[in-house]
Amino acid sequence: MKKHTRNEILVTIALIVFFLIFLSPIFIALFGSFREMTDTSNYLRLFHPISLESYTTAFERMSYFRSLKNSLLITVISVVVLLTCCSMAGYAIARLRGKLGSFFQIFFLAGMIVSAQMSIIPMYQVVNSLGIGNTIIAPICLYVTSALPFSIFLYTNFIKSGVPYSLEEAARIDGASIPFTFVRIVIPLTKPALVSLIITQGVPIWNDFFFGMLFLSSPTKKTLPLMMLNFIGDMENATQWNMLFAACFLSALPILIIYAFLQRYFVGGLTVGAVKG
Amino acid sequence: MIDKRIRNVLLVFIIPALAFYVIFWISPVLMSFYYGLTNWRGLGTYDFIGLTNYENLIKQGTLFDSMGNTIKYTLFVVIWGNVQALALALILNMKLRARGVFRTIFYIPALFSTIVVAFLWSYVYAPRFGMISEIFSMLGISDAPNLLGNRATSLFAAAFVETWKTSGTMTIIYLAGLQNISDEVIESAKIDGCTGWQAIRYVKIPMLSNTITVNVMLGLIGGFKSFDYIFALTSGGPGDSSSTLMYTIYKMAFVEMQYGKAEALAAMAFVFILVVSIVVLTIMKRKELEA
Amino acid sequence: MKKKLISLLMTAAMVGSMMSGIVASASEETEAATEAASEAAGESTGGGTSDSLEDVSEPVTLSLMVTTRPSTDAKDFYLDLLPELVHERFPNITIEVEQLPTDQYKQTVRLRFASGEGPDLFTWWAQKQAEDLVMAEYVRDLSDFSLLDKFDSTITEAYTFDGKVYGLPLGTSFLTTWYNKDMFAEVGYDTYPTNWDEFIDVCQKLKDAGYTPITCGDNSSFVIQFAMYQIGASEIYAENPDFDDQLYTGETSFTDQCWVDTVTKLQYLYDNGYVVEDSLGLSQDQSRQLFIDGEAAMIFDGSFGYTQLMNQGAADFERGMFCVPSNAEGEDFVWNWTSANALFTSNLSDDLHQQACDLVMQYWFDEASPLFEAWVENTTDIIAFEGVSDSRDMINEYLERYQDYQSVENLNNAWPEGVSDEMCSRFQEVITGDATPEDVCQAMQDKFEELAG
Repeated sequence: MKKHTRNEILVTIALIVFFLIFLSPIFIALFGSFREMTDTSNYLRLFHPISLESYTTAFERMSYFRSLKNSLLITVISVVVLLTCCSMAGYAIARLRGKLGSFFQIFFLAGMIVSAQMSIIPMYQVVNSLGIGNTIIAPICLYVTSALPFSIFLYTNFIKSGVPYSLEEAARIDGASIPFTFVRIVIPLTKPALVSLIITQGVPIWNDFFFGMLFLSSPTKKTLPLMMLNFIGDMENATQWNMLFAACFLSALPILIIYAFLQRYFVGGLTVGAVKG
Repeated sequence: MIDKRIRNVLLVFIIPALAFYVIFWISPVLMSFYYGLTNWRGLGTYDFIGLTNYENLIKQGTLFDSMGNTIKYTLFVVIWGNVQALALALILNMKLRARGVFRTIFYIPALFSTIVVAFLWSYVYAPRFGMISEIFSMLGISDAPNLLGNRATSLFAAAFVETWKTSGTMTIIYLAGLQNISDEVIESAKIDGCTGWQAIRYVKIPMLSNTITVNVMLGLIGGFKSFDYIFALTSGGPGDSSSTLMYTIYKMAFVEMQYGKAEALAAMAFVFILVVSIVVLTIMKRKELEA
Repeated sequence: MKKKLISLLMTAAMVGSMMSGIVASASEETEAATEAASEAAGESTGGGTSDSLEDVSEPVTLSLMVTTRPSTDAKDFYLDLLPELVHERFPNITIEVEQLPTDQYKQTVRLRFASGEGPDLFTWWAQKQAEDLVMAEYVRDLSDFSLLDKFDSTITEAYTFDGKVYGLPLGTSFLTTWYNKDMFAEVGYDTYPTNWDEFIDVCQKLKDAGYTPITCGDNSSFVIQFAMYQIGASEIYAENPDFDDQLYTGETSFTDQCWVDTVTKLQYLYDNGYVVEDSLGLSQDQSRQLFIDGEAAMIFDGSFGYTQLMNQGAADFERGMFCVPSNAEGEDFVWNWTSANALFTSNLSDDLHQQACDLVMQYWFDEASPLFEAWVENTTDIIAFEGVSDSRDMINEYLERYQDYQSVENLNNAWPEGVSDEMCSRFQEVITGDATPEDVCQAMQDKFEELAG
């Protein structure tokens, strides 16, 4: 037991050192965000006069609460729609044995290869012809769609390796329908996969500005990352890094909180029980 | 094994995803392929010019020029990304008291926007006063490498940032996979006399083979689509030394305004990546079965 | 306990409502006061050309797109002042402003036009860069705009296609070399160099004195243009001002000697160690910081760098500007002076929107309007409008100093987009020693032929 504790301390110390190095670029941003707004000297000199100016200005310039509301709305709807679609499709593909199953798996997988940059003009035309331009429906649809291929792939894989078919068969013999077994047996068993999808797909949606930039032109509909673009310069105007850093932390904070909460679902206890079931 | 009625219900399950996918993904892609047969500049009118774009691209060798960099970038992202993420996941899966904290902070890089991440790393890489230079001079070495300004290293410098940023995502997927391995299996392995390392090598990794497939595909396709860090950190330079496929396509379509030609290149790239992905996937699946 | 809480809440609510009543009436008062003041102001100045304009008949929302100009001001001209002032004057017109960084901006504006719905008002660049939008008939001919002759006609020229004016120039800028006057003085230069030999001489002296003569953020490859266009100005255009037109007829080519010389001269600065070592690893921001920290004596930049480069850095020194004189002693000197960007209006908008756009423009460019005043005060470009001069002494001195010399626009304004990118990436290879100036010129010519054809 004693040896166990000593190992634990060693590993913990090693991890602390590792994360200090691993996250060191983040410290640059953190300290930068607390600088006075006009202070652009080398960002590696960390300890400068502290000021909250960047945060207050960024907060105001981003119309923080309005943009936060937009971000939350778009991300939550996208993730919910995504999880619904991908878990249903992923489950079906996992259980559709034979040619049809592998056809759909490859069919959706091919979508991962397409980069939105590549076919953005036609995407824009499709959105316009559906009459959903400049509404939040447009970015939501594209977020869901662009996340679908990978999500389905991951979910299908997870079911194939982690959900024994025998469980469902047993339920079916007891007279349960497919939707029932799906909701009552499969969904609970795939919680870790679903949580990891919420995080791995939700965070990029939260951070994305590409679809928002193209499809939301009204300032009142803009999300946090879109408002961050206001601090970015070009070859003539300099980027306002201090404000951008502050904006970045302001926009990362809500998901960091959500994440800290969700990561608990990875901790053994919750899932072990389910797997045993 | 599956009767027709069950099959039909399962097909209905696919419909919502399929609808999104066909409307917003497949149809634009097919339209892009069509634009690849025109001389459209992305603005105004255009003519149908058949396979001319393809002929020109093959003649100029554009696909293969940018393919080389893309493959190097991808290999780096797949290999280093997975090694890093798997190691992190195994450690974070240990029973540590501070586990909750570590499991929160390792994901921080993923929370930041690409633009900011690229900027931060430009201060890591910068010559004279960058973080790497400072560390080198602290160690008494005056000749710190200029990673972004060197033709041999700029591509990998950008790829490294990509693995740093995506480490969180890959690690989470590994962590989710590790939840599927019950403690009993590990315990019984230990009873059989496995050391910690052996338990990882001969029990955990084979049991994770499915998850490894997922992450290899993730790295593979992420690498093939690499654009953001090239755009923000090197602009494809110095010269063309870090110009990847997607960066070339972007430049052709939106800077040089050769939209039709860019779409033709994109179509060729699409077929190439699809073939490679299916081959890799098939190999991985076979390995899974062996494991 | 519960009762107490309720009564507490009630008092709080009452106080709150009273407070808000007070605040509301106070703000009403101030509103009335400002209204009266602005009315009085309107009477006293009077005579503005936009005074007689009538609002559009029904509410209309205009979309305006501009490139991001990060500002720390409490009120930004495009984001705040413009929509507010317009709405105040024309209550039926609401302006929604969208701001994006340049690369994303170009892509988004073009994309919106290509799918048939561009912004009503937007800013865009000159000459060749605007040509696509004009040829596709996405933008409106503004030749009949009543205040057009107030704009500097030589600048308006950059937005003229087939004799029709499509953009209202919002200002000009120039590429220049910022220098550290103190360091120059230390090596015996009380003034700026006026020919190539003097320029090389000062670089050498600075280097001998242990300074880094020039900093370049070549990792941001576009900065290579800043140096190249200054050198090219005298090298190429002193002898042949029509060089660019002749590129299209085949009379001239990028492989001509004058271009090879231009690239060779820039290469010379690198080969002789005048440019900061490892410049390919530095971004433009980092390079600017080296200059203001007094770690390099010169930086190739532009008038647009004013705010950044005038910032106080680690070192305290006096700044100056000059355009790189690539001419030999006694030969003609040409400098860079270019149209910055212009206001365009969409041809795709309906009549009501177009009418509203006209009102906005007439109000904006009426010298007596508060909007005009706000614009003049807030812009970072050098305004090219009758009767307006720049408020920055350094800029005025520079324009006066060179006004009798011939000037050229940014060279890439005459090229298809993409040629300048080719130039920059190929020149990066010159810096690493993997290409020669001839290679750069050949690559530019090839790219030009591919894109212009």
